[in-house]
Amino acid sequence: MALAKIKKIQLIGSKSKKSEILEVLQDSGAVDIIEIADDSELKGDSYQDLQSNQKTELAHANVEFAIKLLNDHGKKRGILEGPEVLSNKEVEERVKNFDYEKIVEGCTKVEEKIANAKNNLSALKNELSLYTPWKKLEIPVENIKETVNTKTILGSLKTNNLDDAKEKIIKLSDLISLEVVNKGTADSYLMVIFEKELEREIRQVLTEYKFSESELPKTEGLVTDYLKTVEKDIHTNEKALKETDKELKELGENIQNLHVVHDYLSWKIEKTDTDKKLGQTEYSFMVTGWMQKKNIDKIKGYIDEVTNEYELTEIPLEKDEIPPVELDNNKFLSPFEAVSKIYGLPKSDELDPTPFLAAYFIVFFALCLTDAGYGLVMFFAMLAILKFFKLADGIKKLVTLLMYGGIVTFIIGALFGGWFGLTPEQVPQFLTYAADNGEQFFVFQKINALTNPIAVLILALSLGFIQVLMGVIMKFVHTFRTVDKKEALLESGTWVFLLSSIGFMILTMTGVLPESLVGLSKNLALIGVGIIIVKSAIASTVGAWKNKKGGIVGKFISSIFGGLIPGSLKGVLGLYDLVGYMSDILSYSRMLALGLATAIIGLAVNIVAGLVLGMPYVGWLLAAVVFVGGHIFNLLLNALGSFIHSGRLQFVEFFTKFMEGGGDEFKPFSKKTKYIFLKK
Amino acid sequence: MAELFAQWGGLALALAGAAIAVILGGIGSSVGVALAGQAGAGVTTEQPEKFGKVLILEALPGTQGIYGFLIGFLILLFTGILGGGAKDITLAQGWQLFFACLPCGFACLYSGINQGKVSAAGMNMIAKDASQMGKAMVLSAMVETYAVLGFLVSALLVFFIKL
Repeated sequence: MALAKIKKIQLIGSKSKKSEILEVLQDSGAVDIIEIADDSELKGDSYQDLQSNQKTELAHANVEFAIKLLNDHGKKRGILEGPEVLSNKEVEERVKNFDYEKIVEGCTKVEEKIANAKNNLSALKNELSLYTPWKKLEIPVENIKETVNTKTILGSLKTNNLDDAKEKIIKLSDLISLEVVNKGTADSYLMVIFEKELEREIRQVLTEYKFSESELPKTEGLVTDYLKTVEKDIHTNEKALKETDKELKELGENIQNLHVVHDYLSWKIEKTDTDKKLGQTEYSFMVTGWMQKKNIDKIKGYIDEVTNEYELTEIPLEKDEIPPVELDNNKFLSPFEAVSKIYGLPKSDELDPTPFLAAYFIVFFALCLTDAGYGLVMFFAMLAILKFFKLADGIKKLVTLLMYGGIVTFIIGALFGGWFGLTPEQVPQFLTYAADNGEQFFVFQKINALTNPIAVLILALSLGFIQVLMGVIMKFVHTFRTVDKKEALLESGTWVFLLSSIGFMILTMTGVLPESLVGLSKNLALIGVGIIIVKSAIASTVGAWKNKKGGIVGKFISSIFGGLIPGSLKGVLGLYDLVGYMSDILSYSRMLALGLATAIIGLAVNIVAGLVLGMPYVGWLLAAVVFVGGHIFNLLLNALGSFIHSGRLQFVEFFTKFMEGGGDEFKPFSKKTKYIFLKK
Repeated sequence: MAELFAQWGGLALALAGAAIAVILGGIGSSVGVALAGQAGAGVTTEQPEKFGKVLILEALPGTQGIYGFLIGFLILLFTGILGGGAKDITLAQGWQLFFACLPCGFACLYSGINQGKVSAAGMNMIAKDASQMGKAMVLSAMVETYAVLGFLVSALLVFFIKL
């Protein structure tokens, strides 16, 4: 429990067995391989495997393309079925017996067909809209052409201008024939035949009325006949497009096999990529990497099954080398890693916060939600998800965590009397009892947050005080044990003393502990304050004394003015940290606010449902909808809020006391899957 | 006039307070959610599979409006408007309730808008790397703290003003 012990290892093996050994390592997913330095003599020839690698990558990209194309057409697995679970052997079997290249080829062809048909369709539709206005033209297209003396112009203008333009043009000469082929509401289409000499004048008039010239299709015969062939072509292309749907559906039958191939190929790519990171000589290869200590013998066992031409040893770290970090907790605690990982990983020499935050996180989550009914709903919903769905590891942890959250929320909600926002008056009498203060309480209820919020506030702040103090103590213990005893005592040690004596003082002053101890506790707190100032003054004085060179008088003066006085001032200023601790603790009051928010929204939902119930005939139905919908909304909203805010209390108020974070993640060489689950 | 004010002014002030809490909280949240939503739409265009995460991040600045609503609701409940018989509320009580609503209203107004900005920036984080979702949420939730505190003080005040 805590951070995994990670060791640096070196594996040297015979080159002839390289592929097999790498396969074992990839299967185990237990080694984080370090890339060999670029300037190393052992760096392999990177061009060696380039070609086969490119082939794999191309195939992978092709399969990806096919999956994308067939995604909406293939047979999908039901949500309850989840991804396929296959063993290594089954995957290889499937890949071997499935000609994915044929499917990819089919997909490429279909895609080409689709693109072709779509292109044709858009061109044809364009023609259709272009030439339809000329449908009524009764002259075959080939007859409309220049003769020795005449010329023809076709085009359109706005119908508003038609009459004016017509009048002006006809006035020009008798040798003009103007035919309105098609008069629409917006645009009108004209054919003007005229003597060539008049061309300039006619064009002038036409330009004036914003006439735009058109062209006719390059064909023979009537325009309407041409349009008919266009329509026929459109129909053929549409039919072709529809047919591709059928083909896609047929190809889509293979999508599950494609998924398997996709994952298989991505493993192969990762394997060749990893190969490039290794050291190579003519007859051997070398893997350097990180491995959990407990896995070393296991991996040796696995490789022994394949070959004995290798040597795996633990090697010392180089100077300044920092191993990667992996969290390693038992089955019960590992769901809480989901919370720790939101913040990031601790450094390799720090503590794993997971076991320490677990209890706090789950209790704070429950305090923010405080509704036993919601707790039950959440518990059973998450249980159902775990039971009926196949989930990836990360999601599984989160769902398990929320299931725990449901249980604790149920318990704490019952103590606070939260049952779907109901009040004790609204439920049968046998579920309630009269509390000591005369209020009606639910069975198991100990406190009413709505009438006695101060008690909850005190509870929240007390929990905050405990967690903050624990954070400082953890820092103290960790520094004391692993870093430096003196530093631990002088830094976090003094704060542990001061904070606990302040806590002691508050307990005596509020009467929780006997009042006779008030004097003692006050003195202890004062001593704590004193220690912090004196510690800083002494450290600074000693420092100044040591640094100043020269005679004893000079040393003395410098240690007074350069050490004692600024040191004391620094000590006093250091007390300012108390304000920081106080604001941290006050931050825990959010638990009261979020708990109240859940309770009041629940109350509001019930009141609205009650109002709706008064409606005639359908009242009960609408009330049920409001009740169920409203509470689901409240649960979702506040579960999200509770999770984030409970998490924030860990990250901001708790973690900062004892860790910095920022460790490198342990990223093992493994078989990562996107579509299938690999049987282990 | 003076008599009218003395008789009904208390209730009117209490309701004005409720209105302010709901309105300011609502403005804060709607601006905040809109800011986050615009950024989120950008992310969703490129990577539709991240919609779930985008939605959660967009919803975060929505709580301020709910806090405002809750304070308004508490006032309606305690003054007896909900349930029919409005209580007699003196002018002094009216002023008290009015001011009790302000911490929640103003804190939610600014916190909602600014949380929206942080959420929008968080959208960039998840656009690049969806595994950074948790961090984006925590950054955004930091801004919410002050709305929570405002709500807490307003709620405590409304609870403890004697009617």
